[in-house]
Amino acid sequence: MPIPSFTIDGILPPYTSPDGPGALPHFMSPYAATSLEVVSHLGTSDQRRLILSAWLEHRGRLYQAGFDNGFQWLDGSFVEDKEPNDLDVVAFMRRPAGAQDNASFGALLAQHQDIIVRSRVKQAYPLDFFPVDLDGDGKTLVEMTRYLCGLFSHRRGDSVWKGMLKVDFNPQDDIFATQHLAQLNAAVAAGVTP
Amino acid sequence: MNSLRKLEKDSLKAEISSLTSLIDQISPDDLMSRLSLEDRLNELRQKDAAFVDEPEETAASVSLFFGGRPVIGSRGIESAFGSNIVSKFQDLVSKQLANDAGGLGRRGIVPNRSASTLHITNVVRGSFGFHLEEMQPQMVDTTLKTAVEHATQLLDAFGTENEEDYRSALVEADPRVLASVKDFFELIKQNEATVRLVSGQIDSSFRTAEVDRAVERATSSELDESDDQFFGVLNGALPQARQFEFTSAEGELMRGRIDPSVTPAIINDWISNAIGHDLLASITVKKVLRNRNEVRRSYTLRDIEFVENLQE
Repeated sequence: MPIPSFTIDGILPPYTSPDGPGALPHFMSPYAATSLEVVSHLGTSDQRRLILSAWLEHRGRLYQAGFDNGFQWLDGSFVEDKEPNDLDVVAFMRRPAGAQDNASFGALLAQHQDIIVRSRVKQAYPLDFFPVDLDGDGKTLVEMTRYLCGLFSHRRGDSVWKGMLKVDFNPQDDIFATQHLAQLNAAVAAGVTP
Repeated sequence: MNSLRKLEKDSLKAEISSLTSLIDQISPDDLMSRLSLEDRLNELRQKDAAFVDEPEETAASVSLFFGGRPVIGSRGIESAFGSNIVSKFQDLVSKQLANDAGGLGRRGIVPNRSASTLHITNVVRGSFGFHLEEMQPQMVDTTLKTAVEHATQLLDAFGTENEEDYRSALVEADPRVLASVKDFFELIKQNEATVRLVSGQIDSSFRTAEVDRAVERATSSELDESDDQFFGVLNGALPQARQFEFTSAEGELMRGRIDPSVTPAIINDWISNAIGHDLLASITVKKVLRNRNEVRRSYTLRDIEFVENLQE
């Protein structure tokens, strides 16, 4: 589904209608999009393309570590009509094969702290990364989702209800997205408006 | 603190306590979740600490939230009501600023209106409302910021359950400012609205009961102000606190403030030369009337003359 246009408040709408921004059919946030659609729709500046490149690279490293089954919510200033500093990502992830039990999963996390632990990811990438274990305790999953959904669907201060994007893990889509990003950057370098 | 910042701070504190509770509840085996939440909590605590260190805003700012009949959830507000109520609030602030500067006459044009201009800089939701700000901040607190503080404190006093707090606030008010407060609350009541105002440390909500109380007070209260003269004796004056005590020839003890127009040098001169002497004091007497009964009185000393000088 196409990504909706920003509203007059500079945010993604919490829901769409045929009369709303973008004249899309009735739909609610989070809006499902491919990584290619994200790059096409939101890769509108050098800074944004830099962040998207980091995002795709990080996703690639998650796949390599075995985290290739899940989806992400994209939120924060990156999905608003402004120049962002980073991209907020909530990643709902299944445990990789061979790391289903808590002990082996814990060992895997320890091995990949630099792509899992929020503060470590922030050091290396312009990403604010919240991983959520889809195979963990069910009650915890509900509480985490409730908290993160509340956090990311409202703007602090003026309490505007806002939308976000949902992007499945899909290595093939990410390849297309990376190629398109390269094309956009090349066009800009050649002085052609993308 | 800028009122939007106050709302951000409140939201931050709520999130901190919510996160702390969430971390306590999650299973110890949920290592991945725990790591990210703890990291988030540390970040929020640092942000909260940074609020304390943040310098106070020097410019005026206030958020007005409305509910009730004119408002549809957090989506919209009747345009006539919305524009009128903001206009009433701006009028109140303009008069308060003029009064603070000593220039608000009993009637006539409100001086220096342009200096009291607030801009609507945002729409605030939750219910629906407006964020108003002064657009030209200075290095120190602006007079408009002070005027907005006085105006919101006065509005707050009109809704308080404590009658004495209300009377104490009222006796400091100016009759024209009081009229603006009345207009503000009457418009709220006529439209069956509610209002919450957030400014600095004030966060006051006026539901139906508070609005009714405010309108009743505004309707039944009057300020009777007169510039009078009294023969008597000055017992003392405090130059820093700008306070005086005077006993009239009839034996009435009057205590109160010294008018802003009297310089510290003049006050010191009074202390040195006027205490104990027969004087003619020019004192503004302000009476707070509730249902025509006097409930509070204040005195402001404007000038003194020696009686012996009058007889010459």
